[in-house]
Amino acid sequence: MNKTFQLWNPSLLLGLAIVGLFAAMAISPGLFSSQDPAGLRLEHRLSAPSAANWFGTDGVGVDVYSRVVYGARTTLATIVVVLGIAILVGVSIGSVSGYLGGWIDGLLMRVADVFLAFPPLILALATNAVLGRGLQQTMFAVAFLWWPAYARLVRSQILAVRKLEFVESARAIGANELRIVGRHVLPNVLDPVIVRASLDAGFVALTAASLSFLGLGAQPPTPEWGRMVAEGQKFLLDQWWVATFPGISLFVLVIGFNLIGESLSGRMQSGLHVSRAEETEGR
Amino acid sequence: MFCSRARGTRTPALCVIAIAVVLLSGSCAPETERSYLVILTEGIPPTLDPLAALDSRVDNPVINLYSALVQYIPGTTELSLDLAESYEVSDDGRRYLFTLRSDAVFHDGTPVRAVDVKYSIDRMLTLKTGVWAYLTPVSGAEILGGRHVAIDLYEPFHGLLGALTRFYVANSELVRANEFQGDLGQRWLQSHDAGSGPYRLVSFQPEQQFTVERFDDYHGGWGERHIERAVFRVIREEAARRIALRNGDADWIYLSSADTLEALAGEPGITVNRDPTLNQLYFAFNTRREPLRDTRVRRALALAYDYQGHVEHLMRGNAELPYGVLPARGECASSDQPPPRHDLVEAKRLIAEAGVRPGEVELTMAFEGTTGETPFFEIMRAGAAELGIRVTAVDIEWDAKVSNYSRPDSSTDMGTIWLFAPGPEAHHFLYSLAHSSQAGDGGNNFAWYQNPVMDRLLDQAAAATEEERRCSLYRQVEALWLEEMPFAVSVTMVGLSAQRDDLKGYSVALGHPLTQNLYPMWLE
Amino acid sequence: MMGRYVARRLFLMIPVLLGVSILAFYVSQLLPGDPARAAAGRLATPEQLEAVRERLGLDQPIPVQYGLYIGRLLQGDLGTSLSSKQEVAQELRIFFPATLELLFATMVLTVVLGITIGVRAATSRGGWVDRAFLGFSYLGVGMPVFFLALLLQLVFAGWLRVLPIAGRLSLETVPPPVLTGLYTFDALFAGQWATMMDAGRHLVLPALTLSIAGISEVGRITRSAMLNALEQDYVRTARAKGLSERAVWLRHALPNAMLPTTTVIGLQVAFLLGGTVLIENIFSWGGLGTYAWKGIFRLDIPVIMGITLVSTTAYLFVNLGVDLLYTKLDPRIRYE
Repeated sequence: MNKTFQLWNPSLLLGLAIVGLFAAMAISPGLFSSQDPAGLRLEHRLSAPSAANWFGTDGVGVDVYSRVVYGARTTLATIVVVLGIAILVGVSIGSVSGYLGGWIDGLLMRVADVFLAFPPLILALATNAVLGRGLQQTMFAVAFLWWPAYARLVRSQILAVRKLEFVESARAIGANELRIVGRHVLPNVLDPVIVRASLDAGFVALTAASLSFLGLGAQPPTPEWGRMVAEGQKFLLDQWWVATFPGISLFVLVIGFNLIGESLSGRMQSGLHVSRAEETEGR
Repeated sequence: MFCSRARGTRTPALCVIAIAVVLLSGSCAPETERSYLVILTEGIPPTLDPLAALDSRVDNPVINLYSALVQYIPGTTELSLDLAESYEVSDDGRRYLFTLRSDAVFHDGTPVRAVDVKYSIDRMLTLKTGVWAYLTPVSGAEILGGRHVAIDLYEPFHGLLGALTRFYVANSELVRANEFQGDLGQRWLQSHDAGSGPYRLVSFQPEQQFTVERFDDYHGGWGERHIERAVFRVIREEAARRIALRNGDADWIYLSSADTLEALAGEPGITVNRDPTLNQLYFAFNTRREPLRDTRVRRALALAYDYQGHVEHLMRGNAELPYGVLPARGECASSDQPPPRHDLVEAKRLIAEAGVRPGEVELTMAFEGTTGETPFFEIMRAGAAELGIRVTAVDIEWDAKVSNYSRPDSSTDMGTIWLFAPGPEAHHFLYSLAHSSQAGDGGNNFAWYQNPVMDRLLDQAAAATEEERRCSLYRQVEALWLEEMPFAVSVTMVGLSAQRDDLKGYSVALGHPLTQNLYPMWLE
Repeated sequence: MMGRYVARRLFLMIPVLLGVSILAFYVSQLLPGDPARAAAGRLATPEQLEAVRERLGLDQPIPVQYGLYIGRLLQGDLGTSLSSKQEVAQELRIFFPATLELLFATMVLTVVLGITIGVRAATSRGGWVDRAFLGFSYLGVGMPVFFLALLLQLVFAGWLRVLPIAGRLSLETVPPPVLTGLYTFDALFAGQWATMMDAGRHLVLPALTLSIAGISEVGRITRSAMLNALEQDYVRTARAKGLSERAVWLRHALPNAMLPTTTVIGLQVAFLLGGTVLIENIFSWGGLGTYAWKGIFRLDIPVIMGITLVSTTAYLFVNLGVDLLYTKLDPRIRYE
């Protein structure tokens, strides 16, 4: 390979900068905004962006900028929880399935099939109808959608890795199976999982925001970008700022995650290329 | 055929561009004269069943499709005869004798007869739903001849004629023929018309639109200027409705926000309507739940709502504050009664007195976000937060709310309720909310309020034929209400809409808020 | 060989559908209170209640009830809507064609534009078309669908006034005679050009909104698959044989690039089924999405379960279709 992969290429840096900024907002929103994201001031409703309210105020007089800042917390928390659950469940089920094989593998994969058979948003809607509306329910509903993808990924990785030489040799020297999984198999499996998660993060944000836009996710007064766009819809013609700023924030965050995800997956693919090339040459 | 044979990579793209040009150019065709009216609403009526006309979304089509025995003169609270040619009241006030006019016919040509009135009354008394809430004193009906029918009451009821303006007579033969498993035609009437009104239903597409057309044999007769045909279409987004009106694609649009109304007020060719209504917004407090069981907590929450801010800022002056618990235009309403008060100091005192410590209580509140009620929740939430009470959102539609409130255990702690009274009689604003008979099973008493004293006062007042005595009884009801506060009475709605200048004759009777009564309208 | 493969795939679908139906049945059991009352409606008369109880077999043990439920499903009985009191299957028949038409238009846009742009970008690698597409694809993947819909409405219907803002037909247009329920097709079959044009114009904004993400995805995959294919031996051989560049791309590279593209297109269908819920609301489309949304706010569980079952089944068949397309596209794949 004549092209060497740049570790810190510009798109990765840009992505990290975007996500880092929003993460900072999520961790300490007080640093970015001194206003209460739930503080009603009816007499100041729908004021245009100004020095006092950078992004203007919404239909009940809350500062849109502070809602956007605090909204970052809602969105990022959703991403972390959803991917956390999905990875935890997916990796456990995928490892068990891939490692044990046999009828357990068959059963678990059929269960994953059932979940994969639902069109994504529809399953989230159905879950919402049963569990009720709210942020936690939405996180749960979206995590419900995502775990089978990780289970499949991990299973296929394990199937590939367990045949590799160093695993075989570990087994040959009589290492305990659990140790093999923990020491040798999982670390090799986690790389693709992390790449996949970085690619999924933006998509999770969009799905959760879509549910909130429909009125099913975060409930008022929790600041949430999708819900803010929905509330700002009727003001779009005159008070464009109510819907536009949260919409743009979501857009930028998703792009940030995509930049990171693609850089990472590009890196991994070129890495794979190298190893595959070595493999062929070695043969 | 440049689209069918791909000769190069450029061709499919060219094809798409060509289609786009053709589609876009379609809009440049000169506007043709429309011979019908286009009305844009926020939602489609859940049913066309006249019994459900308690709900203004249903009253809107039904007022055009059906006729009642008596009806308001458009734009007023004055009654005139409709299907009835004359009526008499018995000496004890418990029997109303109606003689039907001979020329009234249903849309299928069958004449309107006493049997249809009887069937409609029986249907209401069996199903005990919808407009029954306003007609609870009715005990039954008796056929006294082809065109003579009597409506009987348990007790004299001064509000009967006013309430009968929402009691629409359905074609008994037609409905009977379409009953399904003893449902008294509920299923069929959801999307069909069995009325004798000025317009008949031409088509009904669920969640999209319905079309009505002039009924030539309407007993009211047709003059020179009328609307031949009207399409009621759902466009959920207010901004989209506004664009459609401005582009000339609609003649009349419903508005839920005062901001849109104010923005449209200056535009040429457009008139905005601010119609006074009797619609009141209430916040129900579940009187069977802790800590709302304590009247002081309920009163404190009522004091925590910013009524003035709601009227002046949120609605930009397009709402009114009631007098005491009655709308300013209601019967027995007196300007001596103070409007609801926003007083956090007093509220905090009451909360402390009730022994509720800040941060201890969390209450659920049901509201309809899809019809723009979220700000009401926000104002209540912000007010309660000042008292150290956390209010959480339960955003559901009306049907779901009613079914939640059918049982005490599934009811939320608090909830919004709009009352669309059929007339100015004080009875309508108080009875259906605070009488114990209206709790559960689809009734409006979302507070589960039960007080024998209140029940007795309400029963006595409804039966009092003399106005002075009636109003003095309602004063007592009001005093008890404010002391017990099962519901906070917040604001009276002003109906907001916008229309093209050339639409004339639009007027709304106070008793039929948010409806488009097509009969008196015409396009110039 | 093919027939056996299809049969095997259909057989494998059974456990999945069974799982889905168990989930749906379980959810239907979660209805608060008396299911008979819930199914018959709050305002049901005692006779109605009894009839429903008998029809649903609610006095039977749970496994028997599940059996009855499956029996009803197989007969096309999806239950009765709590709010409208109509049969869910009947209502789905009304709402489904609208969504199908929207999905169809979206897929046509996605496939035609996605592949065309992808090929163009690949052939002018590094050129302005390629760069412009790269920028566009970021926009397409990152843009929230609901936000894009609002912007397009604002620009094309609000400011430029060249496209209708919402709905499926103009008010003056009478819906064509029902054949499929898809207005454009029905109008075409009936020979009503004006109606077809009108329906087409109403499709533009919602279909465009829904397809932006798909165009980006399909375009990117097509681009990289094309680039990959152009490096392969057979392309070199074709070039060496003296074929024109265009012929090399279209006859050799593109067919091979179609394989990954087909996968992505198949995946798009799943996301579109969910995406319609967002879009139909904004464009007052009156299809399955609106129906689902209303059902949720009315807590109408039979409606939601009906939609879930129907869209899941549809999705499974789409997947099967995509897999079958593979065999057509790639003769190397053999199914046993």
